[in-house]
Amino acid sequence: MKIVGVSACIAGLAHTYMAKSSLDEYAEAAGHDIKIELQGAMGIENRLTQEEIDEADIVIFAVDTNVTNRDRFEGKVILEVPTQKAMREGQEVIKEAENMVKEEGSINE
Amino acid sequence: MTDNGLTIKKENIIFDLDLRNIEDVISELSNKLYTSGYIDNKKEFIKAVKERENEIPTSIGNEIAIPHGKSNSVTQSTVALCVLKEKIKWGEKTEDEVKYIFLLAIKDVDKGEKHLRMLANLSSKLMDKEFVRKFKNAKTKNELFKIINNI
Repeated sequence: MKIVGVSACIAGLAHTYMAKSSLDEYAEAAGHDIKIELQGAMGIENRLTQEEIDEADIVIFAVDTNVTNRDRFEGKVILEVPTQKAMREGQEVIKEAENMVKEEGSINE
Repeated sequence: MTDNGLTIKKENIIFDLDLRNIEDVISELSNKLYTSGYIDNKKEFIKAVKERENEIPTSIGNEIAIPHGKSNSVTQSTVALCVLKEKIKWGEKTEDEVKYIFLLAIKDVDKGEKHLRMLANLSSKLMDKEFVRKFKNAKTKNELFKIINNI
């Protein structure tokens, strides 16, 4: 499946980057496409295009603060977790995302 | 305070530190940063670090913690590292035991992206199991210095 997301913490440095690394690792290990936008101390990096957002099956917000330009994700299935959880339980977060997509699929059938 | 493009300077690494509580550890690492000129107000910096620590403990598993202070007492963003002689419990709010402490000093408004980039790269690397395994195997300060700077 296609995952997009945003990672952001208070200081905008450590956890923002660690959460992204963890989600990337476990999503790729499970065979998913993933792109996480970083909203940190150096501004926005790895910026998502609207097309990427529109095509995604699910959105993961690994955030301890507000998501900048959140309206881009309107109408999407969103899983929101603290950065700590994304870092420490990356595999579980990806599983949870998979389950949300499955549920969403069964509702639409 | 020279800058050779290193992630961490040797003078900011403490090996085999024999301290048993968080406050002492943060204070000792802050001393290092003060002596080497990366912060100009120890008290203010430590206050910022403690405030952050009180929100959510900064232990990240694998016996590692990354306390950090974002404050205008920081003159240049950088990191100091200590390896404790024995692991300690990282505060009341967590069961995590910690032996490796990276104290990040983050300049409040940092326009020099280079130093922030180093800290960001270091943070990403701390999620890399192979990198973590390597630096945990370091037997001397010099080995640690080389492994961390090879990022």
